[in-house]
Amino acid sequence: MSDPIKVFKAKMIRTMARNTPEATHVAVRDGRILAVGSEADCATWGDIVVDTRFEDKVLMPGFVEAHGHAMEGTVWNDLFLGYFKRTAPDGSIEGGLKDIEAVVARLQAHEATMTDPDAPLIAWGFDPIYFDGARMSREHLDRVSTTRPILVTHASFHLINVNTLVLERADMLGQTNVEGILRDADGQITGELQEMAAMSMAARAVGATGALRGIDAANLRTFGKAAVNAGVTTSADLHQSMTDEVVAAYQTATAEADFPVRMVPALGAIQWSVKDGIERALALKKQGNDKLHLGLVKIMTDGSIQGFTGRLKWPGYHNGAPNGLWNLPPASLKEMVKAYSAAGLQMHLHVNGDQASEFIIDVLTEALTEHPFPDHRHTLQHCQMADAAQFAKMKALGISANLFANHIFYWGEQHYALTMGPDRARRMDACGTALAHGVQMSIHSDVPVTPLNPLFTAWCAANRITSAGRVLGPQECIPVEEALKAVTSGAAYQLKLDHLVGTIEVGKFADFAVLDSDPLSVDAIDLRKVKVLGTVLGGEWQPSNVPADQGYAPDVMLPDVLELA
Amino acid sequence: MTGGAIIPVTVIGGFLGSGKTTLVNRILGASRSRTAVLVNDFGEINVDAALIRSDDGLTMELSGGCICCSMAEGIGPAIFRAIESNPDEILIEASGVGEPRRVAEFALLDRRLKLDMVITLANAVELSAQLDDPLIGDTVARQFDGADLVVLNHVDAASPAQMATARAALRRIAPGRAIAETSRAELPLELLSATTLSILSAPQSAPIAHDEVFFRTRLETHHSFERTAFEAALNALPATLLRLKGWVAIDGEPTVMLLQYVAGRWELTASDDPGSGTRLVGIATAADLPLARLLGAETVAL
Repeated sequence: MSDPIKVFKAKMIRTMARNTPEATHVAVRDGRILAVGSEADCATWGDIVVDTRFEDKVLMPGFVEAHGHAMEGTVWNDLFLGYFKRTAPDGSIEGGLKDIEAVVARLQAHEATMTDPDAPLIAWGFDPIYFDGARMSREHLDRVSTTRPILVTHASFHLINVNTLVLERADMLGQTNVEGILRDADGQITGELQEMAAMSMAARAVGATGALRGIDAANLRTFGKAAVNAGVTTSADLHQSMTDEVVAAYQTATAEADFPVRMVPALGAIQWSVKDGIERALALKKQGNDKLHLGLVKIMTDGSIQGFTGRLKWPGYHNGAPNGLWNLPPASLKEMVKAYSAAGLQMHLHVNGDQASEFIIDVLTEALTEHPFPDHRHTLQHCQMADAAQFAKMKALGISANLFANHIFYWGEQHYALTMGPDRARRMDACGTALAHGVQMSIHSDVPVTPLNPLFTAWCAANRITSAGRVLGPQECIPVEEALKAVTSGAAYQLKLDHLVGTIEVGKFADFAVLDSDPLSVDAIDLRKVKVLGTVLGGEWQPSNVPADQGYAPDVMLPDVLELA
Repeated sequence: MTGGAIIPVTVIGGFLGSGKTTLVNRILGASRSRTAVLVNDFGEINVDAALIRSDDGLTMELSGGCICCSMAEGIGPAIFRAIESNPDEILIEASGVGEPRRVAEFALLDRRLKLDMVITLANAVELSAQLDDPLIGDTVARQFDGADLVVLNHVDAASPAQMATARAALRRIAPGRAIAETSRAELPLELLSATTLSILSAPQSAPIAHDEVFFRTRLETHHSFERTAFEAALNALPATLLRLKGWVAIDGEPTVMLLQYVAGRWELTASDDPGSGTRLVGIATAADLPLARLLGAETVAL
């Protein structure tokens, strides 16, 4: 006779499944869902013991982030300097620095806590795009320290700021004719560096390249904390080298009983020859465990839209910036995509601009015609500029879309004014058009590019409010229920894990997000205020690290939002 | 830092199929110096990469990194590794979509390196169609920015009409740059060698390559140059002069000075050469370059 069956009682269980969409009890055995419905439904399986800790809480399927990066577990080793507040994995709130003086003050305060006088001060997430043209210079950073190297990476990852000491150590002060070392109107070196040469030379002088490198088990544990805080129980890590070292780190972390999230790392195809990458991905597919799902492949095509490196169709960037960059020649990308598809490997394809998405749709048309691949679930990632014509083709080919809904809040104003212009900005990340065309869809954060928080991502897709309070393209807003599907069953489908996670149904893992209120009962505008208290993973409670009385992050300050909405 | 000699860096750019790997192999095959070579290898895609000799421990393959994380991966760390291998020269094959001048910035920035030459190849058969392709046209065009030498390659396979359009395209996207036409990236080694003064001892017949593509130019004179005027003259030399090496007599200097000029970048350093008088040899893509007049020395013959 086995132990009694554990049954969680909740105020409301939103199963996100067609069968039994609402319930009050869920029974768990061996980490899986045995029954969902009423207490009586659960009791038909035998002796039960009811756990009432969630009886005034709401359960949903654990959220699934289909486009995140475990790098979130490494970036917090450095100081965050973002414009909007962000929750760190340990639950503290960082950022919210609204002008350069606030950034300097934060750096000064952090510098004062550093004990090793020679250690470099490395910071990330600095985003002067919100500062009305004000730039940070080395004079600002020299006020923080003239004896300690300081290196601040911008949110775009395309620029860094350094203090004079770093310029001296990298031997840059006397340099001329190097485009990557920026100067002010008087020809003085400002301490802003761009392009890979200048940036990597500075990072090397500081010994700071490590922070952006590979992943280890400790980083993964930190990522696990971030996931719990956001209600995420399954997350993609959508670009990894998948070297033996990385796979070993994954195996170590996920084998730990208390590791709190299922991980789905994708092999970055660009880091392998096509032949070796395919062999590697096929071999990885056979490995893994309940918390480690291997075999996904990531293809990089263009850059980013806010970095002006996305590949755009006519008429290009609104401010006249030249068209963006390909990671590989299109002909090489085509060979690569066709080879992986022919090998039966599912691909997640990074396409930001509409030329990149159109190109990949055309390539997949050819690939799937030459080598049919039933249920391929190839997914266009970001896919921010796809229009109705592209979604129609995606539907016809069975291609999924994972749209970057958070962009509407974080960079919507920049897209409106600089990158796209008003009309194209209004149809960016067009969740409404995707659904209207029946394209299978998810939405994502691309953490650490934007914060990991699926409820906030759903808020973005449902409300499309920019950081300035503008509703950007109300026609593309989607109902809350669709947005919640996108971050649960929709994302699970794209990771080919929908038989295991994404809804609360019998046989799936007992993975839940524990919420303080019901996201399907609040107004769409209040979705982001639904609080995540933690997760249940395989039937085990994982409390959030965020203090109960902490405010919301990001700190959305929108005086006119309600009026606009 | 080992305190070793400054390492010259050659950057070879050009779109897929322009002949970059052929040129890399040609240089490696003929060079007698220890050359570290950084190549892009995507296995089956870049089949030419298999031709690159990799038995000397100095060949480094550049794996692609995503654009967003280029700080941590890709070419930077590979260049630093190459420096540590203490080579005589470094040869970098930019990726098929890379911009050679951005790669060249490493050589401008790192004091252990000096930029020797940036060479961008074009495929004479395909250039025009590539430039018209909205997917890649701008990428191809950008690769010519900052090139010291543009090599229009595969001319043997191009029809007269293709040659005409390719030449016209280069006039538009690479105006004023030195242009050489080749069939299999056949550039004279003495043009490419960054480490030796070999051109000084080479036979003096001109032209030096097959199809009257490169021309040697010489200057031997007892004229002693006034330093400021000579430096100004160097800065004004035409783009068609790719390399100029040798000894120069400068007013007030006890011995002749060593001049090493590559595509507009030059160094004038003290030398222990016992000879006297100015002896310079250059390589240009134009015939009959009036070197004496350009340097302001035509009045005094040796």
